[in-house]
Amino acid sequence: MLRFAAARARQTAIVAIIVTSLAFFLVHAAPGDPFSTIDTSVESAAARAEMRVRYGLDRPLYQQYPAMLMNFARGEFGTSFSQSRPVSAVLAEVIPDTLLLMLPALTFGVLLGVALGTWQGARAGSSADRGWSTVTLGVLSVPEFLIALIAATLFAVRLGWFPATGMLRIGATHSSFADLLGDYLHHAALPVATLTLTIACAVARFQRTAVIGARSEEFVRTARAKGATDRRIIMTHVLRRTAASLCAILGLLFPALIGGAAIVEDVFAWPGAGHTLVAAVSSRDYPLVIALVTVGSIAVCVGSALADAAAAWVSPSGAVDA
Amino acid sequence: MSPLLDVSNLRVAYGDRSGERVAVDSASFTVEPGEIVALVGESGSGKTATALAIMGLLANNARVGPGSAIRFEDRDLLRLPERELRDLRGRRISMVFQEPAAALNPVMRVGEQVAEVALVHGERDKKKAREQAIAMLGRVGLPDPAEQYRAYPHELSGGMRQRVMLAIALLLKPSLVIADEPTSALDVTVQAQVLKLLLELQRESGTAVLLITHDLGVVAETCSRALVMKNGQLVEQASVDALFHAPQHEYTRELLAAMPKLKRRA
Amino acid sequence: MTQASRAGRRTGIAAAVVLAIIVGIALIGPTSFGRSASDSGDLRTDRLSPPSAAHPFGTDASSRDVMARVVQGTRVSLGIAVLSVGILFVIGVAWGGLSGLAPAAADRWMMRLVDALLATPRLLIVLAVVAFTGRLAAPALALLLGLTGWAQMSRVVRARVREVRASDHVVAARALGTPALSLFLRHILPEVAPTAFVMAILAAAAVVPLEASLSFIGASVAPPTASWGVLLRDATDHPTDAWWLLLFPSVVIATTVMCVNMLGERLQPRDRNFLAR
Repeated sequence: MLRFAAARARQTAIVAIIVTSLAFFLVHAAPGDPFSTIDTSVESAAARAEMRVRYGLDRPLYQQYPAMLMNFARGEFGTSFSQSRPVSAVLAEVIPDTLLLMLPALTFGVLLGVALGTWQGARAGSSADRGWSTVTLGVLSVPEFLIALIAATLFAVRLGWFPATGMLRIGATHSSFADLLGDYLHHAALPVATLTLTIACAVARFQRTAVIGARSEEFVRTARAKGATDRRIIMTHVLRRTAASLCAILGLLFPALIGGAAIVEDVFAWPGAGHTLVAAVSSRDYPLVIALVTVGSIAVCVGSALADAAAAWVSPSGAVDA
Repeated sequence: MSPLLDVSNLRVAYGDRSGERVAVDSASFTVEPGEIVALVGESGSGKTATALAIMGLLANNARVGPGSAIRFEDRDLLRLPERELRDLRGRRISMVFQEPAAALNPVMRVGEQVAEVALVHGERDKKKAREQAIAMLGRVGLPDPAEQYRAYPHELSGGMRQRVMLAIALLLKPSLVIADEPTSALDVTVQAQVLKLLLELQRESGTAVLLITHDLGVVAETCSRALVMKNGQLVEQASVDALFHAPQHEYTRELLAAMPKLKRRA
Repeated sequence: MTQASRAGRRTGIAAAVVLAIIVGIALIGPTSFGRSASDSGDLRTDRLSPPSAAHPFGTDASSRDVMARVVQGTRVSLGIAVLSVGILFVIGVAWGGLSGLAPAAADRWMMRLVDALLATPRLLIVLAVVAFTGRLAAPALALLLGLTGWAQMSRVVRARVREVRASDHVVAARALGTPALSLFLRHILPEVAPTAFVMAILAAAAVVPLEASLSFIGASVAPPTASWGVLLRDATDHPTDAWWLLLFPSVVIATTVMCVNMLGERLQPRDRNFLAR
């Protein structure tokens, strides 16, 4: 287990370096710099030049790059231009908020997806199965922001059941924890539902295939020969058999998941990392952008490492590849 | 005394868009209680289809011909509702498959798969089912059965896996066990051990065995009667003695001739 | 053929037909229908008018004909999709092909880069770039999308090349001394090509929503050019009073992506481990 963790940690570090470097060089390959756009109305050219020096942007690239990497390794991500405070402070604030969105969505999405996929797999080929396959494909074909938009328009703007933006009432103080929780739930309902929907459909598609595959394996015939009911075969034998591949799939879904969360955050103005990233992009706040992108990739690596660990945990060592 | 199993005019055909393929063509035979009967033939002769028909485990695209009947303990298996068939499977009739590695669930402990037979057939107490399974695993010759209960199939050798299959098949002491090439996938030395075990268990519980095999040597050693199939038809039925010394059908003679000489002398 | 696969076949054909219609309309362009995507009508009376005979999809806040905007949006978005898929196809097939033919050590390193790329959310990288380039022209955006999207293609191509390389007939050809180029062109390529094309279709299905999302965030093509994402962005300014701004582009996007997905699914080889490789 320790070896596994060490190997994945090393892999994550490599990915983080590659991604950060990529972002860094792409950013600097583009014309202009952060200060040429924001401050023209407010600051003079001299003040802008001074800010460039302060942020170290006047130094040649081959000096900036290693400096940046060293800083990142130390956990210093620099200062955000648009928010005028350390990037690490921004991260500390927004990452938990993103988790408050992603973790519930992931949980519900996986549960629903496994239930639907298994249900479909048990009646593969039937018209009910094909109908639901069309539904899941349809949902996955609609861009996530569109689903979010429609949900927001319908349930928040038109029907007024849920708030359209934010995580908590603006400027509100909460009288009790229950009040805080209620407020959070009220705001979270739509964005979490949107994310849950896409996750559930993606998981259902994979689970359906896995169940169909497991059902055609020989041990199912043995179970039948014992007199087991179809229900028992599915719930006990097939589900266990598909557990490992489910975990592997979750690992593969992570990049899309994080991208999707960012979009949903933007539509609902949920104060998480994704929303902050979009805003940072608009204001060309490059330290913040690079830090967030790096964090995003690290999150993906961690997520897929967890998924692989879970897969290994569910399968008996050395057992047949799922 | 009425036979335990009475198969009459069994016809099994697999159909698809392009037509029908007859796997078993009007086979009729009986199995008496406590008997060991061999079902011999090469691959594709319809042996497995016959076995699956008896168990009710044929694939969806299989059609059992009109006029076929399979009577077991005075009931026609072909006309029973699925619920009653399920009750019989594993309890009164069970089956042992050829390839134990594939036949066992790779992500489930072997002990659990044995205990499952009891649980499926009414045992509510998980602990008791577990104890039954451990006892059976000991009976089939697994060393340290309590420890082996927790083993996964891939941790066991081929021979041990097949013993587990026998444990599953015989846990509830069925009256009929259908063994479909139970030793073909095993090493030669292990084959003998597993066969010996099967015979012991059979003697103890008085179970009838329908032994499907293409190995005439095994037939000579273990069975009292033999049924020979070719291309879906039952071409000869006789006691093993009669079969070996006075084969009636030409195909039987061919089979005998194809056996290596050493074996035939046994 | 089972009933299920017959239905699948019909779906595939239906999807292809619908797709062909959409592409056809996009190619013909709005002007051929006598409409203009950028012409603003009378700002006083025509803005934000619901669907009518003159404007079947209504008009937007600048009195532009929404139908024409949708058609132009289709053109732009599909154009970006096709161009970016073309780019990622070339890079992905080249990288994957080389990796598949390369000795094991080189192959490992080449795939490490691919794994790193796959580990990163594409959206984030694209956003990072757009942060600094500002709004991109459509071809530049297509280039960016292509450059960030070839990883999955190369993974699949490499796996397929390795598989074909190990197959009996290729080994036999090598044993007979067939020269490498001929081996590649006549034996390996024909077997890998179908897989690559199916992946291209699936890549297109992935790129369209991505581009729309980017445009929606405001990170894509500049106005007055319309792309689907831009149209949807405009729709959010008037969520309740101009439902037609949201409906028509949504239907077109969803239909197109769904058809591409269905087509891709239909064409996929029936291999359970397809995605796991």
